[in-house]
Amino acid sequence: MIIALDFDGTLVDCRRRQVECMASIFNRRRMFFDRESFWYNKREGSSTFQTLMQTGLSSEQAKEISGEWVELVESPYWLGYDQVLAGVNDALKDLCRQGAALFLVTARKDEKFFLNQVRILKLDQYFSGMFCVRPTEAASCKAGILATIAPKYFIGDTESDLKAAEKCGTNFVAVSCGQRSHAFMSLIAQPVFRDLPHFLSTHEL
Amino acid sequence: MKRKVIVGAAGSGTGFSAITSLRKNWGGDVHIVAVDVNPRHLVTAALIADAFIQAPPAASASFGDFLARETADGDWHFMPLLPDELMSASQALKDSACRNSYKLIGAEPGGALSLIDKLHLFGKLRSGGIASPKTEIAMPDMHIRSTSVIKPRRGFGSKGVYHVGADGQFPRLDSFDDYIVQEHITGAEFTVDAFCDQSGGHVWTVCRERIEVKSGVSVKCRIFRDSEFDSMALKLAVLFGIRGAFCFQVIVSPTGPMLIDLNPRPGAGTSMSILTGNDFFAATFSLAFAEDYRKHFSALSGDYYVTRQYVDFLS
Repeated sequence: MIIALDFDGTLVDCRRRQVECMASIFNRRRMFFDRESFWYNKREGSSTFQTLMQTGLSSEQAKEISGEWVELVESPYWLGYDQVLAGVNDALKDLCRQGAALFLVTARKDEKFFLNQVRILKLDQYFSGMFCVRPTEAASCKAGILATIAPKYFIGDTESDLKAAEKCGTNFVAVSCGQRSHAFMSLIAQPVFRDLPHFLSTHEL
Repeated sequence: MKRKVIVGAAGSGTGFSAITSLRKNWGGDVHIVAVDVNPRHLVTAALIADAFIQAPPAASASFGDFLARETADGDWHFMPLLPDELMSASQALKDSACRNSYKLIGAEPGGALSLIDKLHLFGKLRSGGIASPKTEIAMPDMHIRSTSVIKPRRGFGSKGVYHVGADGQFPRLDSFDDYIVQEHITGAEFTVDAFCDQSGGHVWTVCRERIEVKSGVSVKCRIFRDSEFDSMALKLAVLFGIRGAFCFQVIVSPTGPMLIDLNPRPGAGTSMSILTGNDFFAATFSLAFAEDYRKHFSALSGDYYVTRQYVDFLS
């Protein structure tokens, strides 16, 4: 059986990277930054720009700061803040033991940094293949890869992952441990699982 | 209650690593104050900390007052990274004004002097049965063998270390009392990153072989584990009252490992071990916060090579 998995928010917790990178930008500008609201609003579906607008920044400031954040947030220093989500290592180990072929399908600006990060987090051992697509065309590029590897499931945490799965008729498994909240994902996908271990513990593959 | 930490020498590489580790592992659940003698715009870690304070020089009499003032509301942890910070913070803790306002991360206050004065340090090592080079204070009329090393008594970061050449010549020293002379030991040199919690009965080490060093800082390393260094780390921690992370340098001579330096804190290269799953900074903070520190260590199988490049920050 083939299973495809998204990376950010599905296997690793990116909250700290995203929040602390933004906090450092506010810090340099000597501006107050509310970590909780930033993450809450992003999880409820707002883009980074929209989230900044909700804090009362002008659109010019929000555009400048979100642009700076996009430049920084996938650099090796900030990628070091990502941590493997609880239970993911054991879940991947179990899947491999059951004979599943696992593929990583992610959207990142830099494939080399992504591959290095997977290696540092010691997750590379579980995957038969790792694919990195451009974030600007994430859904269509991910769909192209899914069409090629033809997995039984694609497990992801965003509406873009759902769109990719729908485009190529793959079963989508929604998790709410990442970029989007349970409430947000429930509006577009059913059922929504807490995380990968939750899905595996409630489903016979 | 939110954890509160002051990190000294925040402008140093070690300070940056310490603050990064705090932020990476505790996010917004820790209030971090970065202090340094440099102004804010010259301290990268100020971008990640909650607050930055330009501090007086750690060797000055006012550093103790500074710490007392900044920690007056109590329940702080202070991580000294320079010998003078450790000395001044230890001294200030003895003053009633500072008592209980902060806990020192790393060394027991009483052991500070023997850790930062290398003459005391090596005397204690030898009396404690830990193999180390013969060490004596520099004298104006001394006859220095051509195989000697001259080091500042209170030095750190390999600064001011002279290897006496074959001709026995050494540079002019401003004040002989401030230097020690050690026999030169030959053999493979390693840095050992160590962690010890004596009360929890846990000791852990990771070894680094420096493949390339620039300005005293490792930039290419082979990282591996040799459990034989665990017992040496435990002896050192007991002898000097060190809690949490520290590092020491050894030269493996034909007669066995000789300890050539000991720092009661993580070093500039300690962060290189993080990529192997061994975060000595996070473990030290976890110990200080009475949290589980074992999760910050992992067993190593074989050799890991870590290379280091500069990262640019707009500060």
